[in-house]
Amino acid sequence: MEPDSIIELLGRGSPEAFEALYDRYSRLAYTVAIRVLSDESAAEDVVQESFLAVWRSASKYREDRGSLRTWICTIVRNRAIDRLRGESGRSRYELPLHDMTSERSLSDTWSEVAAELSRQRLKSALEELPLEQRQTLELAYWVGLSQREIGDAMHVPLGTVKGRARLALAKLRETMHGREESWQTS
Amino acid sequence: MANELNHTEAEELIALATLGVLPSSDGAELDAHLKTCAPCRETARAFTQTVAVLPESLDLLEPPAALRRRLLSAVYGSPSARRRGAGALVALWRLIPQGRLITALGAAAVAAAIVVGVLSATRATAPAGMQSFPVAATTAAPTVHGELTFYPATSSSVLTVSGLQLPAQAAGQQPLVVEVWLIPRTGSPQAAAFLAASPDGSTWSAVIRGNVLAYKAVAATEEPGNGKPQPTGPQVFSVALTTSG
Repeated sequence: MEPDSIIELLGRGSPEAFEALYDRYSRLAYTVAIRVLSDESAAEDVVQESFLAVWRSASKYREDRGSLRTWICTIVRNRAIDRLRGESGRSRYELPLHDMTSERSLSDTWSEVAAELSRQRLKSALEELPLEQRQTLELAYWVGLSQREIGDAMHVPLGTVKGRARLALAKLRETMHGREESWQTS
Repeated sequence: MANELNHTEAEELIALATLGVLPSSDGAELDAHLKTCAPCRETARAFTQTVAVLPESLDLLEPPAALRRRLLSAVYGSPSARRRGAGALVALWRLIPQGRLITALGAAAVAAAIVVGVLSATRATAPAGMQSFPVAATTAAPTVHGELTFYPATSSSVLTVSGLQLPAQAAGQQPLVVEVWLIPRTGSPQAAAFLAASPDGSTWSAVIRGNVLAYKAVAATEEPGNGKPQPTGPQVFSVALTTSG
């Protein structure tokens, strides 16, 4: 069952669609939860809560905010970080992507690129980042530290944290884009 | 003032936002900037897509099989799934004219039509080869009754049970679950599913994947917490899977 069909049938309360959803994304969801929590039992709880949340709120899924895969990863990561940091429902700013044009086509393109990227190549792109940029990215994304907490942990001012986060993502994007182009021409 | 962010400052906030660490309270200034700045909107898209693939860098791990069983039991036993299963009956009711013009005679005719319709619909939709087996109570749970229905077309079974009451657990103890086991003709029981209770607690259900007819019986035990790899608690019911002929 393809993601489009899964989300449509989930919206109609189809348990078969839920089963397809779980079989398709549970490994990724569990892996994300373990990466954040480093605890199998807690990760299981988070994955269970997340999939049940998806089951209950499939109608709230918005295609313009990314793929089903990304949506599930975001739910799992946010819940895992809330659990890790004991902060339920922390208010996070979400970019207003619905105001942007060509969103869908870019997402699709990027999904294809992502599918093409081997895990090892993505790891390499991350490893090519300067250490302080990679650490900033990891502390933010996988540990959920605020910019101030990252600054405290790395003994740098707030402005440096912001700058490193920007440079890390820009460089990662550039590296991956460069590889995408080189694969297409090779 | 809201538009005073330059591109670099905006990109820094975009990076934090896409990494999920920009508090909502800091978003207004960025919102205002994005409304008027196409290059930064493009950056926001690019960073969002970059962050979206970060989980792909992880080596995938297999979640425990018990997690799948628990989730499917909960979902298949949920009210929305059951409503969906009853969809054909609801659709039939909708065919009946509603309103004040229905007389007593009309209502009787409608009732008769429903009975005939339901019977016909049941016959028409009953999957070929479907087999049902009664649930047998045990001394540990003497009021339990129910049925297991095997659907060969999907190689799955639906187990529905009533009259089951789990003993209350003392504070600090793990809650009990009802774990369902497939009992092979030889060898050890195999974990198959967990029963999920309906919202009012009157009915319990589970879906068992695979051909249950290859097994001697299905049984259920009370187990602590997330269940056990082998049965350890009291048996609350069993289902003998003897086929006619």
